[in-house]
Amino acid sequence: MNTQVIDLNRLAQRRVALVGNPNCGKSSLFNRLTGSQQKVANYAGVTVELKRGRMKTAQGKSITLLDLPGTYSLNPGAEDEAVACQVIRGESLQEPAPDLVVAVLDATRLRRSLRLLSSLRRLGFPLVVALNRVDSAKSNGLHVDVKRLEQVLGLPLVATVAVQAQGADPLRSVLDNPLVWAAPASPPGDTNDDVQALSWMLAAGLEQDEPVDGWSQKFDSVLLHPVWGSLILVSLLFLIFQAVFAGAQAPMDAVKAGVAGLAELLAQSLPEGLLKSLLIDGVLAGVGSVLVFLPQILILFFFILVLEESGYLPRAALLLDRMMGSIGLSGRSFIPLLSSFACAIPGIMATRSIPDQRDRWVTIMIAPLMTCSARLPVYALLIGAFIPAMDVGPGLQLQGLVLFALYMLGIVAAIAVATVIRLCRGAGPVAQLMMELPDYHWPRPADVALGLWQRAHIFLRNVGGIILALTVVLWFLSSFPAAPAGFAGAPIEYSLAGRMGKVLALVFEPIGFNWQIAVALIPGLAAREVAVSALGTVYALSNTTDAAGAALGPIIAAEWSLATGLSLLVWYVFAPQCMATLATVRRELGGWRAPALMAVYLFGMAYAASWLTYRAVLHWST
Amino acid sequence: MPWFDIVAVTVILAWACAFLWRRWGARKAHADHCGHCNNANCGK
Amino acid sequence: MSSPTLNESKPKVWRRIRSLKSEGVAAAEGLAELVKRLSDLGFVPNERVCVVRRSWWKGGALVVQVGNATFALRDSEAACIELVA
Repeated sequence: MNTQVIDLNRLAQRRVALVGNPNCGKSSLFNRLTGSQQKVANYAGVTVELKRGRMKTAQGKSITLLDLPGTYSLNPGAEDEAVACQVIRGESLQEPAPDLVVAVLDATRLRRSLRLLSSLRRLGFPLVVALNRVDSAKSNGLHVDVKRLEQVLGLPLVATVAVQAQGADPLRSVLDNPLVWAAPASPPGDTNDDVQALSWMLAAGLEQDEPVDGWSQKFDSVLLHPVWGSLILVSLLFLIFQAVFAGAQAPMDAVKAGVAGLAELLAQSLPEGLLKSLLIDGVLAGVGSVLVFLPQILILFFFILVLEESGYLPRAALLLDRMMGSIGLSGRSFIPLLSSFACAIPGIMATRSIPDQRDRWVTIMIAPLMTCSARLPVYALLIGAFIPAMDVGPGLQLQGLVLFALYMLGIVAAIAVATVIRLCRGAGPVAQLMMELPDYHWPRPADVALGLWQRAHIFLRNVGGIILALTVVLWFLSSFPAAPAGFAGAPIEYSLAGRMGKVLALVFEPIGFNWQIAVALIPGLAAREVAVSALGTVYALSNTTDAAGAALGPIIAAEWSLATGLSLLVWYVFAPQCMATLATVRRELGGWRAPALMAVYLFGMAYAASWLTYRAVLHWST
Repeated sequence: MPWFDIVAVTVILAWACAFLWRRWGARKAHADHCGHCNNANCGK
Repeated sequence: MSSPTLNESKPKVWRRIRSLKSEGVAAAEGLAELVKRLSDLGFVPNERVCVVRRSWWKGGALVVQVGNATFALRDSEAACIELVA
């Protein structure tokens, strides 16, 4: 019997890990326990990396809580499960072993959950069992005698309902009990986990999981139907695109008005000089241009989160499995590629759930072609400036249609690239599937709201951080050396940035980019949306009039040709204007070859596509 | 008061450069150390 | 004289798993790994299993219910699961 004395006052240094099968409600439980006290990293969606947060016990003590990726057993199937297994075994480079493990069991999938518990128990951790989804089990007709099960398992057990606001409270209370932190005595249980699980179930008076024909199965008969299911999927996707454009108009106008108002205020109250220029032409013009797109990004994320929470995504993956198969991938690539529509970085990380290395490599290579949310500010700016806002049919707006077409272009390009890779390499073994289709459930508003808030937080943090910093640097480079009096042309042309731009413009001239665009593309390498803020600054500084806070859209609409605008639009479909993505590829695949290859092929495609677009539009408009 | 302007601008510029330097430096140092991700905010 | 396998099973008919194949399934490299993975997912002897729907195209994925969990499996993966006749 372990009589280690646990000092509750040092609980804040204690680390508790949540372990359980995929889709057992772990992440929801994590959200209930930590609220907004989570380390916000650059991802949203399926957990492939561990998440850290802070939780308070019932007595108010603070504990570090880890949410590990779901795993079916301690034999990892793919890299995301390997993360969980490594952390648990204390083999992770990133995270020492936890002090206590909370095994989250899904009451609707007890046999499987108990198998994992059996192998966890053998590791000798202090263990607490959280029996989740007791409410769902009850409505399926399975009544679990919690006390009896606790006795049979010989471990502290609490029943949690992660979807309810107070549903995690039993877990908070039990962690105040010093006894649970002591490691349990090594049990004599059966080494065959399934045998152990069954004997537990028998002893606790639980029948074997009876197969249910519930709502999920009923919905699947439609949603997985080859015809209806596919139609629903396509309609859903189209609906999302239209919503992203149309639904964001009002909030966007509000943000624009706010920024313009602030610019006016500053213009009137500050004396002429460097600071005024920095704040208005630099910061406000730059950062303001990007800020305006936050509503659209949130709308897009809302849909992605809702789809993900509802459990629909694996069904979509299954419907697309055939198409994926024809380009040499499996439906398993769908979720990482879908995540890439939000941001390629978590999308590339999500490929850790793909067991086949070949598949994984190809998926990573085409992920940046999925139109990420950072492109939205660029697309919105250019579409707003160059595509007329007219209706082409009932409920169909031309601008929304063009946006959809851009998304499709990225997808088509990805298909082409994957096919080329497949032809070069030859078809490999059939990709593994073995994909779970979890039960459908209503997206939990609290979880969706939390996800949105986290996303907004990341966006604003980027804006206040890297985008602001780059904008300031660009302003500086664009303002110095200052043009001497009597210089013909905008002062910016005399500056360092202006001169660099003119040099680069030689390279970009065949595809219709002027020097201002060339200048903006350099800081634009840091992140895609930076190009918008950079253009904002460059044009603000190019204005020889006093129009403070003039919107960027009308300026470029007036100054650029349609051919240039469309050429830049197409450039952004392909060009890897995101160092962070290339850095992630390097991290995930190891070495410089993969990111170098990616940069070369993407820039190549971008240049070619821009050239074609520019020449074609020029030809047709004369 | 042009000197005020110059001071203010210099301070802001210095912040921006320091920020960027730290960001890229921190990211690289983190990546080398963490062995797992390149997210300087991963918390490790 | 081999047992019927899951990929041959008729849709909507509940069967029981007899065992998982230990050798000789065509086109399945790393059979041992595959089989271990299947059993981790819940395809264990004596568990009830049923094909929910077959794909409308040849070679597509099967949707399968095992216990009360639902999975999508390839034909070759389902072929490793032997059923009680």
